[in-house]
Amino acid sequence: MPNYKSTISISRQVVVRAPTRVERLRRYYPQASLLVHATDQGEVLDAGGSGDREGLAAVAAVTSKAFTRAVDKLCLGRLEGWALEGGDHQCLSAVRDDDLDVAFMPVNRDNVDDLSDFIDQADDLEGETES
Amino acid sequence: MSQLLLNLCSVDQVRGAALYTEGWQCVEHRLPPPYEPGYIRTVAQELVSAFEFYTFLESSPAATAMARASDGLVAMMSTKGFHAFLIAEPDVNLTFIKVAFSALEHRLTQAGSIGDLDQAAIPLVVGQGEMAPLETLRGIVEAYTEFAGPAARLLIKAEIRHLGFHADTFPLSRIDALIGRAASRLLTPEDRAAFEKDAARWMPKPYVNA
Repeated sequence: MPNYKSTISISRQVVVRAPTRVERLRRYYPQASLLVHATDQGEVLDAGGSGDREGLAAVAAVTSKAFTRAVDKLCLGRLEGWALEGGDHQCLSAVRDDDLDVAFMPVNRDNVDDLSDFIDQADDLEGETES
Repeated sequence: MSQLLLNLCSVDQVRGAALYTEGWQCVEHRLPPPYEPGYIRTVAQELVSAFEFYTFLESSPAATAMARASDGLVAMMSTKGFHAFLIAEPDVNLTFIKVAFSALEHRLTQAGSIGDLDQAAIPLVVGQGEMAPLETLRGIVEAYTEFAGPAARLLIKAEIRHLGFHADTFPLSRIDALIGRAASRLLTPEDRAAFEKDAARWMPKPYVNA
């Protein structure tokens, strides 16, 4: 009776994919209904959550351009991020040279400074090395 | 000069702010040089047009907007027929700004309308109705001075405060109450009647007794 255990070798390769930028942001903002990583022209690079990702990226691109113009006119330096708040939701964005992180989430009714947190979290992701 | 932006501009690291009507008439500004209300208006108008795209995401338009840049921060609030625009240092406490915006919104809702009070009154209507122009209050103080002397200004101010308002935010609909309260402080019935008769000319038309 041959000893099959010794003749059969099973190799198993485990591939661990590094979490994307959006996936990492999602850990910090589970309340966000939609998170998008987009170019400054409104092209979606990655997204997570439900909703109109192209629409969010387009709104973010237009808003970023508007704020960039305003900040330039007032000589306030380089735009780092912005927040728009409507009735029930808010849109937060961290702006870099060519791309944006955007989150669409319910309004925080406690007057918390979500914008600075979001910009800082996005900055921290820049510093992390993707493995 | 109205005091609506005093609270907002008192927040640490706020450089200045301006308040506009829905039609972009400047109601009040506290902007240090080089900022100037006409220039800020053009910047704010462009932003508001861009914010209209927000309705693609949510049915209601964007009411509050903030942007942080390396050398400063801008914030805007559109509410109750007004646009408030603020410029601050980049490290300003945004929580305080949000609270100050909420307080301003509350005051705009409560107060009634606000005009550029040092100029001719701009009759705007919000909340409790048309606001009393500053010249109306000055006229009442002048009439009251005949009877109460130099303390008239302070007494009228105290009565305005007692009615729950500020001189900048006093509604026309409460002028009769103000005159009545001020008159009740006078000692003789003759003085009270004479003051009420004199001050009646400052009452808005619907409140004047024929």
